[in-house]
Amino acid sequence: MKRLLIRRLIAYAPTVILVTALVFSLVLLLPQDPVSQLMDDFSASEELVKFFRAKYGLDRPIHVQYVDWLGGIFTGDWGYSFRTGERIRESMQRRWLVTIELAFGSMAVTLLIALPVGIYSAVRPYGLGDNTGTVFAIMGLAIPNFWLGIMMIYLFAVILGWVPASGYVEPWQDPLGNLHRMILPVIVSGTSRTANIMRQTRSAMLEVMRQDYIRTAHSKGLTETTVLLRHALRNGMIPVMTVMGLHVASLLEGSTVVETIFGLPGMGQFAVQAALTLDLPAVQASLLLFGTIVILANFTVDILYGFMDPRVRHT
Amino acid sequence: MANNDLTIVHRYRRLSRWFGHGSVLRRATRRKINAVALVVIIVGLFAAIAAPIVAPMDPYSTNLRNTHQPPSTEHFLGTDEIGRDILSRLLYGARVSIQVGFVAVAISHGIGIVLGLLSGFRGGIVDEVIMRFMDALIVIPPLVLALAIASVLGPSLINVMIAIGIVGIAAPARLIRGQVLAVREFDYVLAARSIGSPGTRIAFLHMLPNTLAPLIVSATLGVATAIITEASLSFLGVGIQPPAASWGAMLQAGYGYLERNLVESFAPGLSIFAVVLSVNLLGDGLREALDPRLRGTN
Repeated sequence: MKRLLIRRLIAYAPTVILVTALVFSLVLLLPQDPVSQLMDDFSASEELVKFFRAKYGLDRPIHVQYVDWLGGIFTGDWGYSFRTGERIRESMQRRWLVTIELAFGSMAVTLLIALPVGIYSAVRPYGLGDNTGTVFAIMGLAIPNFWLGIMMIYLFAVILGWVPASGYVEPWQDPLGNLHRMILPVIVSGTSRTANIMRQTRSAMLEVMRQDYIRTAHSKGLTETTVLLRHALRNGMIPVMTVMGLHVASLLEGSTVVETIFGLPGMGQFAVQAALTLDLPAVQASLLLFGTIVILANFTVDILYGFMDPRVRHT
Repeated sequence: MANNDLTIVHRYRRLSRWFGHGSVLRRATRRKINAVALVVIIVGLFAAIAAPIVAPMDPYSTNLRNTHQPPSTEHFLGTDEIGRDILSRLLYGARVSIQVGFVAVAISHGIGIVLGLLSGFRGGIVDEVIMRFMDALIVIPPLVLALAIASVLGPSLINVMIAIGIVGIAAPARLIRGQVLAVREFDYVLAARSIGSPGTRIAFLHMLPNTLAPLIVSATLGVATAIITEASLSFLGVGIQPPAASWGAMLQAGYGYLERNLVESFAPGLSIFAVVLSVNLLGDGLREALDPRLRGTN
């Protein structure tokens, strides 16, 4: 187990470094350097541009900037936002709880729906339940989340008036109000993921149910519930878990759109605002943070895989 | 002349492989729902190509005395916040979506195929370097990366295509690499090698055609992803800029007038949904038609 851990750690190291390089190299795509870009709007003098360039260290060679930036990231100095002048790390610290709440809520709803429906679909394939699930899954995978969000706001906030259309209150200030405001975002963010995991669960379980050992368990006279829960589920969940790890990326991705629509002050909204205002340091910090979270999730899944599937551990 | 007849026969055979009985397209649309999807796609393509002819009005002509109109005989889907005809804008929006869909996939798959072939065929350090780059590319959520690239390049149609193309490179590259590794030791590749075919010839002439089936599926599904990503970017404001008609941007504008006129946000969203759903269904159909192992399992 320890060997697996170390081996995986080494395997991930180049990816981490390349991600930082990739994120930093965004600056190379700019038609001109960020300061002149921003100053264009103000018709600033040559000296002012020079001053700001020096202030943000943009007058140095690109590799020096990269190393400096990377050093800053690791020591906790993530630089200042071009837009607000605030420390990026501090603005992010205020925001990440919102995104975490959205992500966990969304994942919880997803699992509560996707796993039972997916398993049921596999137990009674092509039945009414399975077919209904399939139709919903196919539609859920194609529906644009921003449209779904807007239509939900129209139905539940404008017409029915059950929930506020947007805004955020912290859970410890007003738990009920928080729930009220988070329920739509959580559902919207979770829809396509629910569809996806439902399908994955179904096909993984179908695959397992075909195995010989399941037939053996049946012929031993075990009840269907026992066969399902004790024999099939353990193996059936392995591919599902892998997919769930991959969904961390889609959770973060979904947070950009969902937080923007529902006015939630989270990481996704931060990234969108940074991109809209060409606030490069903030964009880079967001990308790097998202990338790091995804890498960590993949790493965790890799290790869990070793725990759950002995074959992986011993290769 | 006989030679000419033969070419025609060949051409006919090639066509019938795609459209005739038992052809890929026939098998992919065997289910009714997949056939409907194909029809929706064809209608969408037609709408996009023929938009200037079939659109009832100029999608850019504004009329400030005629804003937020509900559907009427004059404006089939009503008008938007500055009095433009929504139906006409939807038709022009189809052009944007389909252009982005095709061009972005051409970029991602064009680069992805070359990298994947190189990686699988060469192996060793080349493979290692390319694949680590792909790993790095794939861990940043694609929409967020596209958002960043599009904003840095400056929002425009071509930059949106480039951004969506770049974030899509890793998937086809990995796919092709896997396929190449699978067929590398096959007899026909060894045979080609033993008669001294150069590597590029083997890669493009012998290996690529044999990886075509999954590639077609991945490209089809890629079009759906590209369309939805473009709509997301335009919705968020870093995609296609006004006054150009894009479904995402129309939805964004209509969102502000949800209570006054639902059509403004309902129609573009439904268009995106219908097209993406259809392309996904066609992709699934193609997957089943092209992969004999999948037949009957799903």
